[in-house]
Amino acid sequence: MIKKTGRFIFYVLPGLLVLVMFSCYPSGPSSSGETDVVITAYDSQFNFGNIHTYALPNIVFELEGTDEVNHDFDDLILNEIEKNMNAIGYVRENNPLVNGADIVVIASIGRTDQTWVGGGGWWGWWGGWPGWGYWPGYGPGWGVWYPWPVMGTFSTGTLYVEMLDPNDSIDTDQRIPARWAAALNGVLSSSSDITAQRIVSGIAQIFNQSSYLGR
Amino acid sequence: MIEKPDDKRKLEYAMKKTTMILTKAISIIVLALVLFAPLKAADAITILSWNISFPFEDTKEFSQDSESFLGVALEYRAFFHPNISIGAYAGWHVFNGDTTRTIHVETEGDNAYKADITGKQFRYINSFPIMLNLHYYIGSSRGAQAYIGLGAGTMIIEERVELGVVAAKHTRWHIALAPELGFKIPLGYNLSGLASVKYHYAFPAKRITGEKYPHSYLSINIGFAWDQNFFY
Repeated sequence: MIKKTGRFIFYVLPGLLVLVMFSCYPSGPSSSGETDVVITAYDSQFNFGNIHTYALPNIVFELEGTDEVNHDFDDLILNEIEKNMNAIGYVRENNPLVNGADIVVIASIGRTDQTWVGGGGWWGWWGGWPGWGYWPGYGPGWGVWYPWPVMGTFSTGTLYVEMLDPNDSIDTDQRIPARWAAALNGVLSSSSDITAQRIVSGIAQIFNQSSYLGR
Repeated sequence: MIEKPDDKRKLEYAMKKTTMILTKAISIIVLALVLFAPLKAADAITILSWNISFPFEDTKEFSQDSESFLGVALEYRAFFHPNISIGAYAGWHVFNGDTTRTIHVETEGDNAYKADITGKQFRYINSFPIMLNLHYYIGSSRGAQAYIGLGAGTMIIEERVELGVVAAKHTRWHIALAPELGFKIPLGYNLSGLASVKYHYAFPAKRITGEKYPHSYLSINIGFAWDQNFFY
């Protein structure tokens, strides 16, 4: 009887061990906060030390897409960007329509999954900011292009922060080059008690890992 | 290279991958069984063990793990001499950990750019050693035996990094060696208890970072060995 039981156990033991391996196999993120990813990329030919003033449109733009965008945190986003830009020595130009600026910083939210594509970007939706009027030739219908290859795909609700260089020569393809771009993946895909905290820490990390910025 | 994982897809992927690896491992074991078929049943043992592994150097650095309790191995040993066996060994060892360090990416040329990526990285190593081995035993086959052995073959190593919604994985076959030291104690009913220490070393092959590094870890194995008479 003992031997029969022993035999049975050893017939099923290999299968049981493999089953235990599968059941104990480690899983990935256990909360949305653990999927937060901060990516920054920049044009390494550009001298960020020459920037003195920046313009920051009081709008959080929406990228093309069909999903609803959460604008509850727009003020927080713009305030955090301004706070961090000022902290590294850049000065906000409050009247760029008259005085221009060395760089334009924009914030936008993805309305669909989006891939950063070299030579590509967003198009045609940013005409709502009058500050572009300082730079002759720029207007509605223009877009951003990234001078870098594919960096990754970001989910709906990603917050993008970009530094555009409208002082660059006019592009016949109606494109403004991004000199620096950051993505805070999916941070606005849902709204919860910790969304504000994730935005604050995410924007801080954007600037922390961009040590080449500043004067 | 870049994919969007979700739990279901990850599980399906892991099961598919494991099935493929186990199929290969089983094929090798079956081949070994056929080769050793002329031997009497009592001249061969099968070993099933649970493995606790401690990664070293690059394996530890990549996986961010210092010990793993996720490991199993199946082994077959045929005796062609009272104190010498030849056999086949297949295992599955998992290492995993996480880190939030920033990854720096840099390119050169006309479109030169630099990028930094920060987030909680979940890192995994699935190691599947498949080897032929040779063991020498000290002591009578009727009593407790100490043994020393060497395995040679391959270690299939899959490295995977999950970061936010993207994942990157890389699988390589490494030439590998595994020296082993252990002992076997008869428990009766043609069954023995077994404990051993096995050092797995996978020679350098291109890894997920694009560079060539070896993998190595030490496994403490606890298991049972039985011969065919056990089932009759």
